[in-house]
Amino acid sequence: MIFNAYKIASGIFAILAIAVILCLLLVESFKALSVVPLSKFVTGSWSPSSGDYNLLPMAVGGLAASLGAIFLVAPISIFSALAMNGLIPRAIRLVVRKLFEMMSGIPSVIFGLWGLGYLVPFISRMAPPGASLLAASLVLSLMVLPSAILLVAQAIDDVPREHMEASLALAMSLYNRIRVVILPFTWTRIFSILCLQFARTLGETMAVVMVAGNIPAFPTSVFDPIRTLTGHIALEMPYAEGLHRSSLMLSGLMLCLPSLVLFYLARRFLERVRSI
Amino acid sequence: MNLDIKKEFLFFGSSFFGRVAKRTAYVIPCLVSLSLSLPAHSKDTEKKKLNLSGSSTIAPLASELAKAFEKKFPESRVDVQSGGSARGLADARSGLSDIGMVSRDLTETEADLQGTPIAYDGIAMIVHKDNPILDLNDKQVVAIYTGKTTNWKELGGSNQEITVVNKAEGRSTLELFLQFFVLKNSDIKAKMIVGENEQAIKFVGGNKWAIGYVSVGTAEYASKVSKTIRTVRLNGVDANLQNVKNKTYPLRRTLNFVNVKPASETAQKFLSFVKDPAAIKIIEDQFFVPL
Amino acid sequence: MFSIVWEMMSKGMDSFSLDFITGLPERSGREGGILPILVSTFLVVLLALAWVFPPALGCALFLSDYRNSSRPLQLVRRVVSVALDGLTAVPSIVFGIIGNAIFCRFFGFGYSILAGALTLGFMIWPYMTRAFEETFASVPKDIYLQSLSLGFSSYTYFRKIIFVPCLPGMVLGIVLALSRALAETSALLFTSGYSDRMPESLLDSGRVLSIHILDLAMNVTGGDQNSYASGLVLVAFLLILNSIFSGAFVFCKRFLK
Repeated sequence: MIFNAYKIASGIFAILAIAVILCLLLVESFKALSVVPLSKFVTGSWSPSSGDYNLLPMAVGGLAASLGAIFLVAPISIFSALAMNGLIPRAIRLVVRKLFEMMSGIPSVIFGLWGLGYLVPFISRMAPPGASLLAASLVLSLMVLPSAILLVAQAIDDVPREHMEASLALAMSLYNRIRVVILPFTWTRIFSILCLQFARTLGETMAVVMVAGNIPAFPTSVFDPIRTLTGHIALEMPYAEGLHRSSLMLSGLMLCLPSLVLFYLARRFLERVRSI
Repeated sequence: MNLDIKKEFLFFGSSFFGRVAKRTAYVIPCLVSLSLSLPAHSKDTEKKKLNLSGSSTIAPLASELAKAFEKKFPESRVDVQSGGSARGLADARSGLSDIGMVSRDLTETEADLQGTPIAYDGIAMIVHKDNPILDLNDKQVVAIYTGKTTNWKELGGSNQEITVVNKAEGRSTLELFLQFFVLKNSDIKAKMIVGENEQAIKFVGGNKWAIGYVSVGTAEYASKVSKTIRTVRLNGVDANLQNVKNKTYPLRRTLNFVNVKPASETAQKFLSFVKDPAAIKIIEDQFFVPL
Repeated sequence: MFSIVWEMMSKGMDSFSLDFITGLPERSGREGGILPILVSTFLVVLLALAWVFPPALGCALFLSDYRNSSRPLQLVRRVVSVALDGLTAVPSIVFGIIGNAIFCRFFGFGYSILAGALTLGFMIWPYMTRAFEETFASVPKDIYLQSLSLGFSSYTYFRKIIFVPCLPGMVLGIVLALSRALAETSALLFTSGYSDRMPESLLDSGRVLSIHILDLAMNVTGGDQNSYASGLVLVAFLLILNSIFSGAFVFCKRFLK
């Protein structure tokens, strides 16, 4: 009896927690929403002192950086995972997996430092300023790549052995094996893994602030500096007051919602796979 | 196959190892709660607590001062938070902090607060160590930062685009820069905005054709020790702490502790501690100029 | 692909050559050790794990419970699942700001280890629950059905039957939450603060290792060396932790044979 109550209570606690968070965000952004006309949030410039609250460049910048990261991570992780499964000799496989496990635990600050110290100067030699959309995407992709590879490799491993063995017995080429055996079993899972990593990159702050340039403007090329929504909140929140603070809270709210949708989708995909 | 998994599963539960695991599972929470109850004093009413918050430039200095202060007065406890000068002012006013750290002089609108200067600092223009430009005057800096001068060759340097580095809003360094060069932040056309001093140094150190501005002490250290950047002479004056001290360097600033008018006893003790010789040493150690 | 790994390693080698003996009490940001910071980090993370473990476990049990499939409860389950998704989705600075508003101001804890641990707990909660859920789901279906048919109560089922075999999985979940917690920066900056001295009570402010790395690299003049060293300490700790646990699991599997 008590056990049941404990279980349900924990569940309700979780619901309360997120409800409180969302409510607080709403309450804090209410001021901005009620005073500033909606058009002001998507046009003009960002200049709180003159009443301009255009969040669109930051939203686009953040989205672009995360999309760039996922476009890089998707093929690399799939190929790497396939390589880990088939091409790499077993001895090295363990070492590589340990390496990736270690890398997936490295805090984001270190990736940011590396980016600032090595990646940004490198890019600046090709096209100044160096701190750019490209740098942000690269750093983000490096952060999610290890865990993405590990998860995709696990998904590939979970393909039932009989099918893998059958494909080997039939002497299928690697290409065919991927197309016929591996992909049908794993694509939903891989999609959900990518959704997950995408959502992770949306929430990343510190590393991006170090390498993205932080100019609140639309990027016209990958070498242009951008500012992500998270970086925007991090840079301005400590001193923001009143309407300014309220609009920052609004951008925080804007960040939660797509991530929530992504996580939900990722999970639903996973559940579909499990029920097979 | 299913039966094997099941057997292993259940066997594990009753095996020796399983029983050991069960017992350890009980012990760990006990240890955890024990170790946590030790430091779980309630409010620090025994110790006289002091809270500081504000400029991230002053924060490391304040932390060191705090530690020295506690050594001298063991019954006190000083906590330092950062967050930027504007935060320091807001917290001091709202009472969240006893003392705010502001890395510029107070303006007239801030006359309701009591400001205690603790050290001098300056802002140095920095470029990469390989950049041949040694001198800049006011007009040139303004031209660079407003985007009128976009190439180093216009200043006598190499034919390269200038990468302008600005500081994030809300930082005193930015406000001082704008005040000195009589600019508005919207006038500045920058290619990169940094949050902290070291970020600017690292960026300029990695980018041959960038220009930025940081605290003089930090710049001096970076140019002498890590040798990645170089400071630029402003209006003919070398940007070093010596020139800040003898007031020949133009871009100077005072680091201040601010507080609401009647300061608490501990706060007053702390403010007077700043003039202590031990404190002076700390200030110099942190690359600022003592009063 | 491997070039990326190689670049990371080369940067890692860089820190190796800048290594410092850490562990001595700190003198200034650039010198001395990081003992107070390690203590603060230990307290914040441990407290967070400790307080969030019961709710996380409860949620996981609730979500993987197929016994009571009444309509309203199913609905509650779905909402709880979405709530957990929400908790994962909130970006860390937002957690920091809200944690600041709730625990530091409203509850009056100020910048403290307690506020930091409370905020951190909410952040790692979904990770823990999801990991636990996976473990419970991997229990062979037969055992579950058998216990149902034998009329065991849910509690007996948990305690007597699946608790111990699920333990490795649960420990893995805790370790996962721990790694997530250690990597957290922005949220803790606003809640447990910046102070770098030895905390004397849970209401004292204390910075965690990730914030220390950030501050030394970004704010303290000449702090690079120790920043890398601290980073090394963090990564080394995670490495050791992971090795211990995977070693333990291998040992378990071997023992079972």
